[in-house]
Amino acid sequence: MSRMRTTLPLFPEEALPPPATRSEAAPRPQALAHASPRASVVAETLWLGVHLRGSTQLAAESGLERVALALAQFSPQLSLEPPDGLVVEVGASLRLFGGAATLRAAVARRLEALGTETWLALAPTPLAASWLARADGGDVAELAQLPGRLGELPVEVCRWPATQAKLLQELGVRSLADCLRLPRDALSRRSSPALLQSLDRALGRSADPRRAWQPPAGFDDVLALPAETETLARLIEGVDWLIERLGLVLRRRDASVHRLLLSLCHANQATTRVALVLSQPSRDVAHLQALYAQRLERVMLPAPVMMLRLSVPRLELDAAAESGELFARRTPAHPCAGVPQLIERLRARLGVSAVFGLCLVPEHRPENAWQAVNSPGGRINDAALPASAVHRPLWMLAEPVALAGQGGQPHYQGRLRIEQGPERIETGWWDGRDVARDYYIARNPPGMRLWIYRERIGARGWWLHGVFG
Amino acid sequence: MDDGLDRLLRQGQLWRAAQAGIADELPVIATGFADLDARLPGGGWPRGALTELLLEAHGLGELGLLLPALASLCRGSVDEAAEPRWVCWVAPPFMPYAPALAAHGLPPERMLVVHPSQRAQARERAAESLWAAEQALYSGQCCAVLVWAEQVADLRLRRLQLAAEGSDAWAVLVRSAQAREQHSPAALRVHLGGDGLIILKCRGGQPQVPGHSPYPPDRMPAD
Repeated sequence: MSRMRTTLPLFPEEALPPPATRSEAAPRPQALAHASPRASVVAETLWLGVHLRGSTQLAAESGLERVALALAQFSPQLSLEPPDGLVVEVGASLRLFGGAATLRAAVARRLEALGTETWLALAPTPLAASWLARADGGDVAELAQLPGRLGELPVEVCRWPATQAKLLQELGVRSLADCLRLPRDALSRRSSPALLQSLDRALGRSADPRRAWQPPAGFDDVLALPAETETLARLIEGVDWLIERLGLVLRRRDASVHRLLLSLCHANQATTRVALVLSQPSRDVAHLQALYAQRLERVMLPAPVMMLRLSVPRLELDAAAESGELFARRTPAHPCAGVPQLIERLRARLGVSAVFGLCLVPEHRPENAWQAVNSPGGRINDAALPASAVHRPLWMLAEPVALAGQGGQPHYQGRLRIEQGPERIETGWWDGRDVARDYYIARNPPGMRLWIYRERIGARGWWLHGVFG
Repeated sequence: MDDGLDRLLRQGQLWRAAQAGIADELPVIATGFADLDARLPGGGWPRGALTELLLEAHGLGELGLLLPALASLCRGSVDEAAEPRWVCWVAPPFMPYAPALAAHGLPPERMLVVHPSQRAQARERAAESLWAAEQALYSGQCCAVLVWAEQVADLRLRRLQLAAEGSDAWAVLVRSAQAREQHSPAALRVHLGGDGLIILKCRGGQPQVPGHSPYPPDRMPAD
């Protein structure tokens, strides 16, 4: 707030207060600069105007959105002034950030970290903040100071349409002070209503309703690497940076991600794509970074990478997804504790199909009485357990193995001695996997207890189906 | 100096061979077999440490040996107000059969099965399996981690033991009996063959009764 003001008035006269009387009109026309009874329509607010300096090309593209995302942590009320500016309502955030000066410094640091050169200005109305920022005109704290301080700015900062600008030039208006000195009704007759309206809004005499900026629904960001690289550490650095950016979006939207797609673009080769599907939506930047680092270790690159692109087609807007527990019951021994996180870590390295849970299915055919489930722990089944389950082996073979038989006696590492059985299990005509089997419990010479069956139809062969652990 | 020594003795990191009873305070989980409990230091399987089970062949009743303790771990974690904890099966030789597990008191929805790629070499697969087991131990979400692996490098074994020490879970490595001569940092090594069970090594005391104990026991475990 106490910074030096660098802009000087164009002419010495303009620094003076407007003359008290004007000669022409008998009922003294109300000059624009004078306070009107409508001044109180604007609630007490404080806006921070940000003007991006330098290449407008860059600013017009993703630059403005990037800045908006970065500043979203300071306030939810944010509105773009394309192509190179935006305003943020910070009045409501002052206490949180410890006052206007601290907040302004924090914003400046944040923008510096983004590598953008900006001018900042604080003002009670968004338009004034925007104009002041464009001219680097310093901060204005009070509504009452606005006419004087805005008056110092050249009219160009308002970026009025060319016809209006020409009209004002013909009237000899150079600064906003000149403009404010004009009688209101004369100006309203000769110029467009938009011009008057914007002056009123800048001075806080009429409300300036703004639609809060909404970030894009998904996320898509690109990082061009400074040099082509195959080095894992460089790639992970790049991906970490992209995920940091994603984290900003997630924080702003109060959202989580479920599916991510990383594209590694090469010079002359098809793009390598590395998709990541989480077992449950997450917004934990460190977790995502760790997962991608794990995945990238196993990716075979056909060529050096020029560019990284991280895209998320849809953000999961589920506020309750991952709120931190206030009184955590168990202090996690690892930064990525929790079963879903464990499953993701394992899957990131071993593949999705390598990790699964188990569940029961009420079904009499032994191979159908259980199922692998993709999201373990989700469902607790209290399907009544059949009494026969006690007599089932703990180990099942993925596929029954045919046993060599000699003289009607099955062999598996030696001749099998039948201890128990038969138990008849049959039918399944409704899904085409009909079975007709007699199950026996048998022991082989090394001492293994096996669950074997004999088919009652067809070749009447012996099969090994399970092992009693 | 004496304090430090006492501390090591209390933690069971160091023991006097003459004093077998020093290990009574180690956290253990009862095996469910009275005979075996009596022979193990502390009276059960060690928690927060690695148990190594050396098998002459699969299907000799190794799961039957582990199940009573697994079931009581699962039951124990259900009683607590805390989130129930998991049993992690890493690279089992066959598929754990959910209905039979449920019949033995292991809730199937708390089982997590991890199958590293079958294509890889045995040594690589062992490395993957042990890595997965370490992750499961570090997560603090599992009350027991069972891992099957062959051709395990010494360094990996040491890492697994460290991971087990960092948790309060029961970590079990099941290997073939051929690894019997390999040096191992495991807190407990048990050999299971067709003719019974031998405790090769245990922390906190020497095996009280050297030699075989009959397994499977004739009677059912005291449940």
